[in-house]
Amino acid sequence: MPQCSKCGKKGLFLKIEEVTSLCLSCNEQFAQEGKVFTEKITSAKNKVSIAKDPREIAKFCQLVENYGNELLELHQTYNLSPSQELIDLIASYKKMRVSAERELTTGA
Amino acid sequence: MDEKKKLKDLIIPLSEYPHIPYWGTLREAIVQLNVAYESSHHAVLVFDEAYKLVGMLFQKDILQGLEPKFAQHYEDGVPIFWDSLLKTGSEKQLGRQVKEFMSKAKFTIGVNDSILKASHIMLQEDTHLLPVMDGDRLIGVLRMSDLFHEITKIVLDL
Repeated sequence: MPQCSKCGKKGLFLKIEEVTSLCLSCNEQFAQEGKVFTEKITSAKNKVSIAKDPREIAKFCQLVENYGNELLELHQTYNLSPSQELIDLIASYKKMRVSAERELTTGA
Repeated sequence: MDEKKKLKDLIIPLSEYPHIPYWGTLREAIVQLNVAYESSHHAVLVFDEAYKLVGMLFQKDILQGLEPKFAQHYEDGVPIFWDSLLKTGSEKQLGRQVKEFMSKAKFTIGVNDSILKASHIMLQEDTHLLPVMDGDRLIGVLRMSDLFHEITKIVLDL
């Protein structure tokens, strides 16, 4: 019998989203919450690409990491596996932030 | 003589490209493309609410999105000046979501596949950018311009 992996609702005619294994209601809720983080991530990421000052770069990279981690937590709340794209993005921006911070401290 | 590059040497990390959610507007995508223009990236990667790659938006997709609807009926060109319509007609178009115009990320290439296979897929599917997979894992994208450079280098060496 189909069952939602988040709320546990089950029923013979319950519609479950194939990709997420969530019922339509939980799926919609995840999408709405995920949209907020995705928007914040892309906005911070795009700010990194135009930033020149290492202080600004570090600040926006930190934002990408923070919002990325919040989106990861959201995935966990809904028992979903995060995409590799998200995991790689957080790792890349962590590296970039560390490099910018190093530049700030060494003045290189 | 330079050693020939393999497909994995040509992969560009996704983070190097501008990103936009699928509900972002054409106007936002254009701004991102203009910023990325200097770094020779001519596409915006489109993500969903779970931050999964769902598509790519190319310059041609944006131009298609901006083209007045009536222009589609004229194979030999638009009979009146398009620039007079840019300010009026395009304003509405600029607010439309990128999901309407993006090319879906349907075709991929494996990291261990050959450069020629990648080139073949790009030609068959009429795309300039191909997501590269390592098993189930998306590790980056491959650009036609880099493939072109590698393939022509091989041809000229012959």
